[in-house]
Amino acid sequence: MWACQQGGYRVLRDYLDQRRGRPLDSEEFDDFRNLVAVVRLTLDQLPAIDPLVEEAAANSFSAEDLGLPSS
Amino acid sequence: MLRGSEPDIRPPTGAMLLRRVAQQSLFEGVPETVVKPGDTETHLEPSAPARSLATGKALLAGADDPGFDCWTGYNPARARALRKFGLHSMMCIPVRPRGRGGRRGLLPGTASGAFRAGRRSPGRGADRQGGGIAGQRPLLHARARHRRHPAALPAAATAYAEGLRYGFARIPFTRDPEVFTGLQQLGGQLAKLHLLEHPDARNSLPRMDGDDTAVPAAARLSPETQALHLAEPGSHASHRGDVGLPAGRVPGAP
Repeated sequence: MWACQQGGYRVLRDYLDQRRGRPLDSEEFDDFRNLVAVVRLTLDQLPAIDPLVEEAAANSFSAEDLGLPSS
Repeated sequence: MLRGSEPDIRPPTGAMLLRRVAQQSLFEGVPETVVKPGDTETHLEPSAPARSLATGKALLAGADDPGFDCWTGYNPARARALRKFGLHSMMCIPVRPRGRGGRRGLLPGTASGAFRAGRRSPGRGADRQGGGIAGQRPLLHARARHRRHPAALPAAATAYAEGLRYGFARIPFTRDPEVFTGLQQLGGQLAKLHLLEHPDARNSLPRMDGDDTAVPAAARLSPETQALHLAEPGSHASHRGDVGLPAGRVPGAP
């Protein structure tokens, strides 16, 4: 969870890093707990998502099928 | 504009002498134009720029529009330039100078070429004639395909292709409806989760070991156990009220 990244942003670590050197107030503490829960649930979902993405990629429309430029 | 007045606009009629004051192009040196800045050109009222001036309205004129043909016909060099650069439509936007008492009239901004023709725009004819530009043609093809096979492919999926290049999440567009629906549902849940709108985000808060109401003063990650320690204020030495968050597992989470 600690290593979990979203778009290069290490969610939990960076949240605390940005507040380094001062106490979290109670609102931030609640936010952090929410983040922990969200990261947890995200990680729980990934195993279900990955095979579907692979399946989708294996049987996807090509740019040519869709009449799109193949860029 | 703090102080300004609308100039008195009287639509010109008949032939108009228009002077080009400025021009810009995607091409270096504006090679596609035949009238240089400072030069004048006489327009008859049916020309698209003249019509735009006379009515004060923006308009889009394509190759099947008399205003476009008329404008092309003023100068044989223009017709050659249009063919050479593949320009097939023009957008005329009258610009009204404000707060300049001495000037009156409308300035047409004339541009040619790459306009997406809307459903009712005059530029549509050019697309039908195959003069479409890169980026426009695929959309038209997608629409045509959608008309032939309405169930096969939503036209919107390809219409949004350009927007998807700007870094939104991209997923392969699968042929399998079940896979597509599954991904849609999972993606929707994930989006809700990350926007903190998912009920589970509130219902599965990590359980605190120790004093649940304590406000931590410092956080420390244990490299050995990957546990995160949040220390209470004034208790830097001890770790009473620690929250242990082992990697990949939340205390109290199912």
